[in-house]
Amino acid sequence: MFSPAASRQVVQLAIASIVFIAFGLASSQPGAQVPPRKLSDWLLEQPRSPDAYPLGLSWRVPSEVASQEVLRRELMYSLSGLDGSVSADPRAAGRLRDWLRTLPVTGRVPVAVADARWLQANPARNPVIQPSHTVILPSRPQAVVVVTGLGDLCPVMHSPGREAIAYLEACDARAAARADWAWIAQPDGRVQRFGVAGWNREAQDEPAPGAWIWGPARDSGWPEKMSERLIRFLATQGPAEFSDRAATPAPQSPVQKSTGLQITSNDWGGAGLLQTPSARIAPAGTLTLSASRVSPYTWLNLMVSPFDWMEAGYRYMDISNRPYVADPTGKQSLKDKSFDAKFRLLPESAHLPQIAVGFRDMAGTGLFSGEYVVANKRTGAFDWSLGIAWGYGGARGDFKGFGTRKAQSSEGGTFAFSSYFRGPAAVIGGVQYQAPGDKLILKLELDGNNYQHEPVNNNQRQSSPLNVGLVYRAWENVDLSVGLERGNTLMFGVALHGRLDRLSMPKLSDPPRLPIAASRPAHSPDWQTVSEEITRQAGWQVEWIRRRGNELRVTFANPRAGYWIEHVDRVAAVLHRDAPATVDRFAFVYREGGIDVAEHVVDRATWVANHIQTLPPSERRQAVIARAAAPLLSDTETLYHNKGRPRFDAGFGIDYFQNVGGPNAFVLYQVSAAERFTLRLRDDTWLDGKVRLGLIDNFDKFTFTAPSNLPRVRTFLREFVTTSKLTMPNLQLNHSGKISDNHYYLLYGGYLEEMFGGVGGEWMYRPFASRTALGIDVNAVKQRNFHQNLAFRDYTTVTGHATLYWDTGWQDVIAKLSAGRYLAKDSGVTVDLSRTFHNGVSVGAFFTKTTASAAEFGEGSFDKGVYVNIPFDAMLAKSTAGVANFTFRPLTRDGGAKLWRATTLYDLTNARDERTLGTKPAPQPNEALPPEDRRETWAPAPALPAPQLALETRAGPARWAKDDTFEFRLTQALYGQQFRNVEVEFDNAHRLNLRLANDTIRPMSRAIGRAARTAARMAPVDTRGIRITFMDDIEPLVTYDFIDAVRLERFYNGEIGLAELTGTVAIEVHAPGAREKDPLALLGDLETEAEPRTLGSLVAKPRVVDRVVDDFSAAIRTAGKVDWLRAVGVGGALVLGSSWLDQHAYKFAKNHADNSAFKAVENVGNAIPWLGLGAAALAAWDKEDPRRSRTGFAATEAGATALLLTTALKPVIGRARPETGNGRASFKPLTVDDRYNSFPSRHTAVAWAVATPFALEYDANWLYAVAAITNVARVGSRQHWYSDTVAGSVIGYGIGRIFWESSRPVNRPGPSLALDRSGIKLAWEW
Amino acid sequence: MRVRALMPMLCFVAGVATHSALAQDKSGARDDAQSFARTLTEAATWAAVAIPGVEVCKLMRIGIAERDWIRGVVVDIDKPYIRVRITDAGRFPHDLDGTAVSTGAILRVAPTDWTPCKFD
Repeated sequence: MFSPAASRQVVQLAIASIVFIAFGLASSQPGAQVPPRKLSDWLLEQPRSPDAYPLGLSWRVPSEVASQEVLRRELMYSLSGLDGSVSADPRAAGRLRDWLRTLPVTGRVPVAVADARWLQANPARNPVIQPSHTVILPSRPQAVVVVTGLGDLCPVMHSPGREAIAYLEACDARAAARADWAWIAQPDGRVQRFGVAGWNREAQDEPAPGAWIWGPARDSGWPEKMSERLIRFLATQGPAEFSDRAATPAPQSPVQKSTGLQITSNDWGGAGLLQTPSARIAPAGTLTLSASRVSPYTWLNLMVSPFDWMEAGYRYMDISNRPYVADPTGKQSLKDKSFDAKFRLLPESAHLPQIAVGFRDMAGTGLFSGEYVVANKRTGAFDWSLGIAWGYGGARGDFKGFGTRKAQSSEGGTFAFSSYFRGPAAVIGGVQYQAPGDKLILKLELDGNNYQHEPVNNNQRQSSPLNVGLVYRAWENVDLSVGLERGNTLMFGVALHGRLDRLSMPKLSDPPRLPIAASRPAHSPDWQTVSEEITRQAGWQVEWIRRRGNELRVTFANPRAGYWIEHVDRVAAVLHRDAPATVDRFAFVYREGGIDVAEHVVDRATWVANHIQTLPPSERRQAVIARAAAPLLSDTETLYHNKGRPRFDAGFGIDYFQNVGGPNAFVLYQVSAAERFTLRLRDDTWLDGKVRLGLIDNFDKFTFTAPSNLPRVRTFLREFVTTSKLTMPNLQLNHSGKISDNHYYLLYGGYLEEMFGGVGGEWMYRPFASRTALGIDVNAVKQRNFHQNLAFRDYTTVTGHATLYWDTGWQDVIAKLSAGRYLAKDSGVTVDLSRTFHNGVSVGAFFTKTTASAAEFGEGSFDKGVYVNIPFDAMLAKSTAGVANFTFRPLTRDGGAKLWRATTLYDLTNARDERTLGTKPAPQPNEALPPEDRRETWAPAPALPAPQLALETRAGPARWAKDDTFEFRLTQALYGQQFRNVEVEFDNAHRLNLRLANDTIRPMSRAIGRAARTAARMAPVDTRGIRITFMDDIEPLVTYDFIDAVRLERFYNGEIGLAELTGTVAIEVHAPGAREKDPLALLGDLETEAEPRTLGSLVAKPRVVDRVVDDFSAAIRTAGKVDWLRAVGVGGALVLGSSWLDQHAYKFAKNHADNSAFKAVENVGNAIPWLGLGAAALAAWDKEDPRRSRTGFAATEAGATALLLTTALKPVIGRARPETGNGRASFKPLTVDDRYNSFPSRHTAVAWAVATPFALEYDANWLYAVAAITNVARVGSRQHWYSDTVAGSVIGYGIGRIFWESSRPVNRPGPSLALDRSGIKLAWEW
Repeated sequence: MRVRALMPMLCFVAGVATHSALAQDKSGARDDAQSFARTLTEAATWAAVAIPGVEVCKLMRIGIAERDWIRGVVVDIDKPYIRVRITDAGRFPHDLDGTAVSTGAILRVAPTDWTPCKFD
């Protein structure tokens, strides 16, 4: 047993010596290699030996040693008790530590399959063995080695067919009985974790000979993180080797094959037994479509698990013995629609059950609504559930429960929060038994319903509260169910289920991929031929091919892609085959609507290396980098311009329309032929159109027009789809453009959608690679006629929305928040939340709440729905850019209806989301993959990108200037660590300047440490200083100026400590909220464990709050310096003087009350303060121009202050408004009566407060004239006396001026020079 | 009773001991971080530099501000050293471990402090 201090010393010594010991050992192994060659060649040269064990082949790479050292250090740190995570017996920890200390750090890299012929057939998986690498082909071991929780090693003779638990039992049966998990390091380097207890047993691979197994007893004090590190470290050791004589005999117990828990649907579609739900939830991405029948009910359910902890779905329920009242023919039985949701509260563990809470029919008519809390515990093949249900599922009423359950509203569709978990409740529960063989599941349950309070007076006879049933898993994705419910009624069901996140289709219909060779052509090709080949391979139209230096720039016109990276790879393959050897990079510029939206840059050498061999992790670089489109520079040479690109483009397709669950028929459908076309007038101006011809439908049944209390903007659905078979759903002219780097606009006009035509425009702010974007659209539209030809109906409106798009970064959730005016002239908000899986499939839900009341909205109360979007790329054998959208919306109503815009800027600028590169096909099923690529049931938690540990070849300053490869390498290394918007500049003062952003590594100082470490390793050799400006998208947050680059490098080399570095770092904080307590503490940090992004971290206090607090503090300080006597004197005189005009102005306004021009001025003037406030907020938010942003903050804060101050002053002063008729001198202080809230004018105060900072900052005095329009409007509308508005102006101006003064940059000292023993330091602050 | 009387003193002693241990841990952790950084650098340097044929360079300082770079090519590995043939001895005279640095000379040096580089 070592003391912590002693342990540290031993650890240091051990670590310091291990590197050389490792190489000493490695190089002394027989079979060590010298020449650079393919591993397949090396394997073929080895003498055939029956003892050789290719599965345990070790490919050892020196550059991997550093990262494995980090792993080992973290492990030893935990075992030494320094991080306090290990609470195991210290003797056991000591034994484990002592043993681990004897193991070398090998640098081993797993090999996909150590089979020479397989590697030759899969050259991209064939490693190249460099002279410094070592390859070891071990002898076949006979044992597996169990590392026990006591810190001992227990070799056990291998026995085929045994799972890990058998080996654990062979070593220590008592400990094995209490083990929950077994971690396995397979001899090929794969790491696995499997459940081995009764509650979590799962299908698993058996350990191969030479495997390491770690399976400590539960509650023995070994945390999961340590277990994970231990097994990952053991995997670097290669096969466990032990003398056979020392090994425990092979397990003698019967061979068992474990299976995992099967989760199946109940009658209502969710995971459960028969009628009752369970706490189980299918894995994230599972979609289940099921149908069940228990007379008189039939359920058709669609359930999705967007997360492992949530299940939600939509249902149609048919009640066969009750008529659909709205059906005029009376033939159709009653249909009910409903939403369900279930949330896991607690995952199952050894001692605790899984607990979930759920809501059934939560926002429908409420006929079958109910809630439940249920717990599940598994014991081997049995899965037990027990819970309490309220509402329909708990109608038996075992308990009286709390409160009373209210009846649902007749409109349905509302969330009846006051009824949830109220009224009588009943016990529900049961058991599921999984028969051997995975095919059959038996179910027995206690139903909580007594069927004597059935909705629509439809009580059923119940002979028994116990229901029984079985599920037969007929195929992998199909379950058939049968059962006996209520003791007297048969149940039949079928469920189709699959994983949306694993949806993928091999692209068999695409052209075959080009083979990739290491060599490059010597001469330039015919670029037109290259362009044609690119179009053939990737389907993209080349517009330009240009060359600048060693970079080939290819511009694509309106490229479309589902999986961008697939297209990028195909284009890169063509260019690598054809482009001359002197080209080192390919930049693909994506041009949409005449705008260069973004570009992907492919580093040729890296891309080729990644495709023709397996590289060790430390040598893998980012082959493709996404960045904002670079401007066209004058030294760019044009190699090819596609002048002959056709202006007219058309495509034929089939459209399908359906209306489900209506009163006329369960499904009303139409299949039609659709011809879409585009006529390009210019790059930025084009005409889109679509003509549709109905082919097959059952619209003869479609007779029902839904009633409505709002303008009929959507409920003429029947008329629109049935009036004419030949329609023109869309014909519109579009024009798009770019205002500045991150601002875009789109103007359009014509027949915008099936039901509306008109004109509109959209503006969007979207910084490159930002998680947020903001769009505002405004449209003046008129309802089209039912024929959908050129004519219109009478209804017109102006509609538009401000939409915030937010990629939350939390579990791939994207939020869209929209606020604005809808087609029926109702105003409100739409919230849309979705999860997008890595294969592009997304599932989501939305709702809209507007000023239209539930009664006005009608059935459903408000608009809502769920949807599934599936890229065609995930379903079709040919690459296709489209997306199949399936939206399930209970009803089509008029409230909350948005204009269906065919083209949006968010879609046009899609390439600015650099995460598009991360959307790729789901991996093939495990059976089709080599072992290394298989999806394991467990994988180590997502890690932060590894820090730059490897030393790269550095350039001299001249070489750096001449060859931009070095600069690009640095960008690549930073990009690989999730830095975005990276800008690199090496200036004449030999200072390396970096500007970059990173929203993955937190806190900011840790990210800056990573960037500094990378820069110190890769900067030109004569770099004097390194300056890093860290950004949030495009807003600079902080600048770290390392004025002595050599000292920084010495710090990262461990030659000096942080204290010696501190004096050479200047930190300038640009955004007050970005200030950290200790901004240097994490500079040398190597942590790779990602802090989970929790919901809490998403709603944590944003930096803007700190900024506003800072600004207000500064404003208060500035206000303290104001000569108030003079200010109040001048202001008071102005107000008093202006009061002389009060009566005259009032009379004038009264006499001109009917003047239309005057009314127009009033409308504009009344809107100015609020439009100005919104515009100022936008200017503040948009960080593209720091001066504008700063002024925007000042104006917004001043406006808000003026609003609050005047609101507070009005009731205190209590001046009568002109229209009260009490005269201008009538006061009623301290009143809340709005008729006496005349002084001062709030509108004018806000208008002047917002205008003043901009007017002062930009010398734009005309802005005061704009603000004065509000004075005219307020007096003209007779809401205020003239002097009220003058007082408002004075207050607004004063507040605006204070905020502007306080926001101006403070003059700082100029250059400073310091001399110390490390050199001369020059610093310049501004 | 006597034990109870001793409790405050025992608590004090335990507190001092704990404080000292924590202080030692803290300084130990700092030392550990620095020595570990050295270990990582050694491993990374060895992986990058200990390859015959690699061009390497080393920063030499003269006084407090003047910098000079000497360059060479790794010709042999002699664990834990490398042999470097000097191709550019820099603008000023230098010596490494008492051996004068001159163009063409082959020096047996520790790989740390050398970095792979390309100048022209």
